[in-house]
Amino acid sequence: MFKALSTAATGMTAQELIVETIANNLANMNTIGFKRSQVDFQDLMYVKLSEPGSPGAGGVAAPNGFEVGSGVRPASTLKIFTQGELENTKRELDVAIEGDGLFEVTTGNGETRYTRDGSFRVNANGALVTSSGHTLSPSIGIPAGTRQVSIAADGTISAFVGGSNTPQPLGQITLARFVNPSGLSSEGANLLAPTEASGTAATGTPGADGYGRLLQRFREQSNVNMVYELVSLITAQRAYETNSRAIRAGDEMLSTANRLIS
Amino acid sequence: MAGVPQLSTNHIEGLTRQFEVIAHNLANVSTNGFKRQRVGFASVLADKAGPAAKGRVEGKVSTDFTQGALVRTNRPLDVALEGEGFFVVETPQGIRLTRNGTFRVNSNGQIVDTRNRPVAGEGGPITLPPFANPETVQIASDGTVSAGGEAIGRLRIMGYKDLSLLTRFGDGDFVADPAAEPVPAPPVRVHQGHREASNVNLIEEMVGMIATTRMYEAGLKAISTRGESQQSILRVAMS
Repeated sequence: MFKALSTAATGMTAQELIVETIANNLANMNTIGFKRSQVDFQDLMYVKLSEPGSPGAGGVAAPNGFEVGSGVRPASTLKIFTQGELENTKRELDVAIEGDGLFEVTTGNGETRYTRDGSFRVNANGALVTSSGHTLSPSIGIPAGTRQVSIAADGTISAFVGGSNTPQPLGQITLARFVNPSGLSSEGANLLAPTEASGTAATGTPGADGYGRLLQRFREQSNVNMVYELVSLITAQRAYETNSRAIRAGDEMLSTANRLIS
Repeated sequence: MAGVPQLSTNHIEGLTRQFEVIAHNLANVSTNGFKRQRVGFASVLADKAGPAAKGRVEGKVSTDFTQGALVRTNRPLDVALEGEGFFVVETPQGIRLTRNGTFRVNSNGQIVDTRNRPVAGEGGPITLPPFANPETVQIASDGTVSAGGEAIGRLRIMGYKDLSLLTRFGDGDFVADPAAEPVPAPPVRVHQGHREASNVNLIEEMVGMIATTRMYEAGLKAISTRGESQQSILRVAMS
């Protein structure tokens, strides 16, 4: 009977979802290469109590119908792929992408994943891996006795090994791009997995054909803006309050009606 | 004599609807491009509509199409309209109108809405060149979309003379009545990197909610008072 209560409840759920998303964005403020998410909402279907054109006041066809909405539903969460700030770390295996593209990595169980986190390390086998140990693909080996590694903007990586004064080429870092990067699914641990919505990856050389260029000794900060998130948090909290007010007011109306019977 | 309770129950029915509309507006305070609903009531003129309609109150829900605030997001595929007009979305059931311009690209590079339906351009859906970076898409204030400096299409924007002929379909969709007359060049500006917030004003809705609750109480009071007075008449008659 009293649809208003459930309508207001959908409003509260929506605001809860906004707060959850903001909380996740804020928690990842210092996560390298993190991209903030945003929730989108849509109004729910309308219940038509009378069709437009049905006979109305004074026998004249009503120009408007009587449609009452039934609340709100979350439509999707959207990853916002804007560039994060680049921070100079002076660490020679920190590589940031300036522009479009993702590093391709192979996980422990052989799956291909993508990441913006270019804070690399060398594992026990001498291969270049991410901070959570996933191997960079195509894999690059760092020989024992390497003094200095240099990574160029186009992804070529070379090293001075042992006492040699000529750099030894080690390989090439490539980048992957998607038609719709917002369609990638987040897997946690800074990894993104391709989906039907994202399309398949195209790989290419950094700095060419619209691929971003690489910056050695830099890390990409998350693109979370604290002020923006906090303002959204306050708005969400107030909207939550107002929707709960609507439930309370609806409850009062029902209780007034109940008192009538007694 | 039976008129008063009848009138009051109609009144209460109407207030309940009004409360539902307010709850729906409040639930959509964070929905991009949402337009609030408002209720107007008109009493039925008994002499014209016949005695049966006496005391009936006709409710009328209309959409308040006032501009929502433009919120800056800096996301290139967030576009907001300023002025009276709508983005057009293509669906198997025909075109749908929306004010929610939070677009994205699908795996074919086509510009789509939040529900993956192609957004109409002047010459069909707009497709980005292969592997163009969606972050570098430019959308001018007249709706021209360009990628890499080259124009690839123009967003179709429709306006109507009589906005009351648009029906709501949920999911932010509006559908125009076949009788609705389109405006050839709607006076709108497209703002890239912005979203149009819901035009629901929390304070306004709260005030409406308080007024509705109180009027509802008063309506019920009228019914109970009527019952009491009937009882006292009976008591007088019985004694």
